[in-house]
Amino acid sequence: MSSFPGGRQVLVTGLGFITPIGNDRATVSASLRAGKHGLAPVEFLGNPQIPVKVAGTVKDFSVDSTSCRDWTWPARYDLPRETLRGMAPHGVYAFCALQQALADAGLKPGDVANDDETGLFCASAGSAMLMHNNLALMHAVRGERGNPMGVVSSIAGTLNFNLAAHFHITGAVCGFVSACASASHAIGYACDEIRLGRLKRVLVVGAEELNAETLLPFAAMRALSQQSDPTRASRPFDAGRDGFVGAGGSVVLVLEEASFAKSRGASVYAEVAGWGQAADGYSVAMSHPTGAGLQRAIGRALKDAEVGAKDIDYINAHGTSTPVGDRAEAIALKAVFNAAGARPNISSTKGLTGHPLSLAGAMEAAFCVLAMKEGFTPGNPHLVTPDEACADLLLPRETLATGPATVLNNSSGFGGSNVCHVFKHWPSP
Amino acid sequence: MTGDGDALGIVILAAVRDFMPKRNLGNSGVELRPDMKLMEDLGYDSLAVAETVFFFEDLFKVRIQNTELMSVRTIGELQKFVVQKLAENASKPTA
Repeated sequence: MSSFPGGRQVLVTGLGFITPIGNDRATVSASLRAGKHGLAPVEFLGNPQIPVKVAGTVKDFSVDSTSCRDWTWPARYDLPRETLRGMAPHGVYAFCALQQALADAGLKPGDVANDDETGLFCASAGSAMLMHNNLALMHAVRGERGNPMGVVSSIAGTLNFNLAAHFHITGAVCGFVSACASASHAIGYACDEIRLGRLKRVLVVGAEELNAETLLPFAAMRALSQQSDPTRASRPFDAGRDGFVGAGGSVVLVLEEASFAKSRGASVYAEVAGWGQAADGYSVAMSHPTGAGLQRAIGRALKDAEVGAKDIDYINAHGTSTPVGDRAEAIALKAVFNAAGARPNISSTKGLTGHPLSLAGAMEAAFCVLAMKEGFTPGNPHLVTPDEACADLLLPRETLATGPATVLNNSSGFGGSNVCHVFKHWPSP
Repeated sequence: MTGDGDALGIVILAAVRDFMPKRNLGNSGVELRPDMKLMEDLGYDSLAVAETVFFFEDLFKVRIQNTELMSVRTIGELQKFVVQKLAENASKPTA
């Protein structure tokens, strides 16, 4: 129960997955339980010299072309031409994840259309690939012509524009751009809009594409792993980690106000009990050395959810597998939890998926509530030798066969944005 | 560009069908007639018209101005416009 006036509670009632570890709930669940990763060999720009060898690839889709005419996706999704024309590659992932999430929530597309009570909150960085293609054309013709769909298919916001139009969302539509905290911000603000009584339901969408234009700029920052062995490339909290592994995909969460969800007999994954955010005020790209902003964000999330550190029994860490970021998060977790005498299980599922940037917060929130619903706790299967900064943190290698009751989900983005959610088990009726 | 005018008509019809919003006629195999209006009958919006024009510009290496499009409302008018545009283009001296 939150401290917001009105006592409204927010529930997760539907999930949709297009991820490196599966394109449906059952496959994602099986991958998480088995510790099965979704990384695969990649080569960008036809250049084997590029030191990026593996990535969290999306299977059963082909969206590498700059022309949407060439794209393919699983036939079970009904994606019409007039919607496709304005989309980015990651928009196709998002469209499919959204159709899946609506079905999972027991909703038909018509149930969320033109109802003035359903919002759409999206997180992506736009399509650098299509943006590059459009601008290259613009320069080639000295600005005299361009693709009419160039803007809406490529700028940050392309997800909101396209999905809102197709699904006829009239409650509220907006986008979030805080790099790797973007989707977590979307969930947080969606939660507040529902608690404030402004919306009854919010479709939260995170998506990113995986291509040279999105990923290789991170290689320039020396932020990516150079490992070619998928089991060694993404090793959050391991002493031998050497950077993150990029990933693409989309995840959608359907959030609904509790009485509204109950009135339609919705099945519930978990409650979004609260969230918190705080910033580092330290570096454009690196975490604060002791995770100062993250510590405050965790504290605010716990307070909002009205739980203590000892109530948390699982933390899905941001844990991207970068040397600096993981160390800062480990220090922050010890400062909040160990100092309070709490030792929750901690894992970073990015060991299995890689790091999907703006999508991360939504993907991992969905993993958390799926684990709560189905009764398991994801482990750290690629962890061999924990970093010394992780001493005294409980980092199970194997998936645990029991589900957590109260969960913390961490995300951190460039510029020191830190966002945390608390999810609580919701008893079945 | 010179060549087979009938073939050109077929290409234009194929493009019209490809850019046509599917929610209206879908892949129903409905016969496209010259008197059909792009917007009223086929569900085109201004962006779909712009996309079609962008496609023709690329395909036929011509430039089409917004003002030229104002008179094009039906499939027949579009076919006539493209044929005329190509003829104009063909008559221009090459450098």
